[in-house]
Amino acid sequence: MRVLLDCRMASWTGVGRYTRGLAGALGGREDIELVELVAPGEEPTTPGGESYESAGHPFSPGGARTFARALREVQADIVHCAHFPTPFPMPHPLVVTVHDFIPLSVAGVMPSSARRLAYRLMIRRAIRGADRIITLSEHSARATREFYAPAGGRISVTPAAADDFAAGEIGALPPVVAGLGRYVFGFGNTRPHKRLDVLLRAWASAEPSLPADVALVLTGDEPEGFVNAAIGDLPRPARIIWLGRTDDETLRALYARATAFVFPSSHEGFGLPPLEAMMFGAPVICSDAASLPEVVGNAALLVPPLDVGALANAITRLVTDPAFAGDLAERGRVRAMGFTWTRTAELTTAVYQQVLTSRY
Amino acid sequence: MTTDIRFGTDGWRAVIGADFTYQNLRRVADAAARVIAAENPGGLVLVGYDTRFEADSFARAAADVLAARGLRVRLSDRYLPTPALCWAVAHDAEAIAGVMLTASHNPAPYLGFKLRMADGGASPKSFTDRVEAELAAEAPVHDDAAAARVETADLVGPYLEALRAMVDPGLIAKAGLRVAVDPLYGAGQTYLAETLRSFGVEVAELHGERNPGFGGLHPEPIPPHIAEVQEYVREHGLDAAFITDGDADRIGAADSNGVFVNPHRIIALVARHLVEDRGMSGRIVKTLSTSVLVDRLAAHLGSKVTTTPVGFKWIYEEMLKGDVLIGGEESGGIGVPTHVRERDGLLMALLLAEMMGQRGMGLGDLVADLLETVGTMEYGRTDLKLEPAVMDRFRAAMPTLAPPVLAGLEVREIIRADGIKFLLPDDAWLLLRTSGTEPLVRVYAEAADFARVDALLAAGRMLVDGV
Repeated sequence: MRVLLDCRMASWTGVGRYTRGLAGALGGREDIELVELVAPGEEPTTPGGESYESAGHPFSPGGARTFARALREVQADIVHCAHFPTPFPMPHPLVVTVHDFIPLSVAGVMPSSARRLAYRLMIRRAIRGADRIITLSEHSARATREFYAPAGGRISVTPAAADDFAAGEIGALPPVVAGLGRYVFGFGNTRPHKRLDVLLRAWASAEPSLPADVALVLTGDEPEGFVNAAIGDLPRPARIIWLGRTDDETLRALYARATAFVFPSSHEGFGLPPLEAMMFGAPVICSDAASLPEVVGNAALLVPPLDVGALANAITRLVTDPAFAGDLAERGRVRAMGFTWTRTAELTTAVYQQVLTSRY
Repeated sequence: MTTDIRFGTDGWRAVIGADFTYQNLRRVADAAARVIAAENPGGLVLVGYDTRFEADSFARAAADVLAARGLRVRLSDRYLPTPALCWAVAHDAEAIAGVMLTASHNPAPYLGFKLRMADGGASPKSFTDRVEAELAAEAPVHDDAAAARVETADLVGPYLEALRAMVDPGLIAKAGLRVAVDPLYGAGQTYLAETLRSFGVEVAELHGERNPGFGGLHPEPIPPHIAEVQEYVREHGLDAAFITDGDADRIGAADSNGVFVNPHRIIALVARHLVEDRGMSGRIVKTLSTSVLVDRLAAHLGSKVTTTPVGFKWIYEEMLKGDVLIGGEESGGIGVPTHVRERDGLLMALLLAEMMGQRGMGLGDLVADLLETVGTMEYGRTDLKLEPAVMDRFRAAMPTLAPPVLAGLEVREIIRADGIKFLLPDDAWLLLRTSGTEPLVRVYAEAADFARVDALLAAGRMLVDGV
C-alpha cells in the first residue's frame, strides 16, 4: 500500500524522533510504499526514499493547504499525520497520531489562551476527522477518549522505540563530567510538566547525605533564577553541573555512565528518555504518572509525581545501594529491548490495513 | 454455573472449551430434539460438521442425543459444506431437519450449532425461540442403545453430483481454465477443487488441508484474509481465484491480477450469466447493504429487484414466496433457489467458471464488461466500535437524523428501515445500522470512486459521533 507520512516535523524533538523512527522502519517494509512529506530542503529519512516537499509551517492554514495539494500529486492509499496538523480539506482514509494534550492540561505550558484555543480546535479537528487514531500509550488513548469520547473505538496504541537512538555512536563524556566520580543524570528542561523544580528540591534535600563524589548533571544551561525559586528555603546545593547543549553522541555517553537517570515529569504521551536510559543500562527513577509506568514497567524506581521526599529517597537509594542499582539497570536493559521501531511499524501497518479493509 | 445459551442470526456459536463444551452441546441438541420430535416423532434428522477442532466428535455427540429422543439420525461420514447438508435435507423426502456443527466464518476458537428445516433453509426465530425455551440445566444422560441406532452415510457425494449437474461441463472444459481455490482451511476443501478438476480445470488449492487452528487465518473470504491467494494468482499467472469461508456457504473471488472481486459484483455477474447466457428469469433479491450495481444490472436485464433488510433470512423469505432467480448479500452469501434455498459458495464458483467458459473471458474482463454496461461503483464498509454512552446517544438521535448534505453531496432521500440509508446523487448512498447485541454501528457506502466512498464513510462516522 502507498502511504504518505507527514515528516515535515522530523527535525523537531519528541514528535520528530517518533516520525524518524517510524519512517525508517516503514521504509524497510516490503508491503509499504512510503512517501515522506518533508519540509523544503529536507531529505527523506529513508536514504533514496520517495519524498515530496511541502512549504508552509505545519500549524498554519497555508501549511494545511499545501499538504492537501501534495496529496493530489502523491495519490496515496493512506495519509498518516505523525502529529495533529491535518490537511485542508481533510482526506480519507486518514490516520492521525495523537501524542498528548499537555499544552491544554498543564498550566503554563502554553500560556496564551488564544493559542490554546487554536490548539484545541486543531487537535479536535484531527481526532474528529481521522479514520483511525494512533497513540503511543494506553494513557494517551484514555486522554484522547476523555478529550473526545466518540474517538474511543478508533484508537490503536503503537508504543514508540529507541533502538535507532541506541544504535548510534557513543561519544565522549564532557570533560566536566569525565572528571567526576559518579553522577545522577537528568534533563534541565524547564517546561512546567517536566518538573525540574521537583528534581532540584529533591537533590537539595538529598545532597548533604550523599557521598561527596556524587553530582547532579543536567543538560541545558542554568535558567536564571530558576534554581533559587525551585529550592526555596532549602540549602543551595553545591554539586549541580549544567552541561549546556548536548548532541546525541554525548547524550548516549551520559546515559551509559550515569549512576542513575532521573525523570520526574508529571505528564507525558510516551516517555522516550527513560527508555533511552534503560537501553544504555542507566538505572531509572521516574514518576508514577501518565504513560511512564507503561514504558518502564517494573524496571525502574517509580515515585509519586511531585513527591520531593520520595524522589530524594530514591536518588539516595540508587547512589548508595549499587547492588540494587545494578539489578534495576539489568531489568531496564531487558525491558527496553522489547521496544523496537520494527514492532511500531508492524503495529502501524496493521492500523493501515484495518483502515483499508473498509474498501471492497 | 449453567451457561446462558442464546441463538443468534444463524444458530448458537461459542468458543470451544469455554462455552462450547460437550455438556452444553448436548443440552442444545436435546432441546432441539424435543422440539423437532414434538412435531415429527421418529422423523429423520441429518447431521453434518465442518473441519473445525473436534467438530466430528461434537457432531457424533449431537447425533446420539437426537437419537435418544426417538429421532432417526443420519450422520455424515465426512466433513461437509453447510450447503451440502442443506441440499441433502431438502432432497431427502424423509428428512425433516438438519443439524450442522460449524462456526461458519468465525475464527478458529469457535464452533456452532446450526439448525436447518425440511427444505434446507435456516430455522426461523420462532423455532429457535422454542429450542431456547426447552433448554434444560443439565445435559441428558448418554443412551448407548440410541447411539447405536445412529446411521452414518455419505451426504456429500449426491450433493456434489447435483452441483455438477447445475453447470455445463463442456463450457467449463473448453475454457482451459487455470485457477486457485482457497477454502481457508474450511469445509469447502477438496470438494470445490476436485469438482473443478473433474471439468478439466487446472486447480491449485491453498489451505486445503485439515488445520483446526486455521493457521491463524480468519476464514472469511474477503481482504485481508485472502491476501495469500491473491498473491498466488498474480505470481503464477492464473485465471482466477475462488475463495470459500469456513463452511463454504460464502464466496469471494479474485481476478488474474489478484484483484478482489467483491460479492456485489459476483451477484451481478452470476445474475447476468443466468439471464443472458442461460435464458433464466426471476426476481433478483438483494439486501439494503448490497450494491446499486445489482439494481442497474437488473434494469439492463429487464429483471425485477426485491430489496430486503440485511441478513440471508430475509432473502430466504423471498425465496419461499417464489419466482426468485438469485438472492445474495454483501457478505458473500449468495444462493440460487432452484438448487437449494441457501447460500452456496461452491455453486457460485462453478457458475463463475461456467460464465468464463461460455463467454471466453477472464474474470477481470467479465467485471470490466459489467462495469462498462452498468457504470462503475465502488463500495466500502467500516464497523464503528463505540463507547456505550456514545452508542446510546446515537440510538436516540437516529430516528430524527436528517442531514441535508453528506461529504458535500445532497441527501435526496432517507430510508428508515433496518437502519438509516441516505440516497445521494449519482446512485451514491450511505447506510448506518446499529448492532442489536453490542455497541457497534456498521457504516456502508457506495459511490462512483473510492475517494467518495472514503469521504462518505468518514461522514457516516461523524454522524454517529454526533458532536
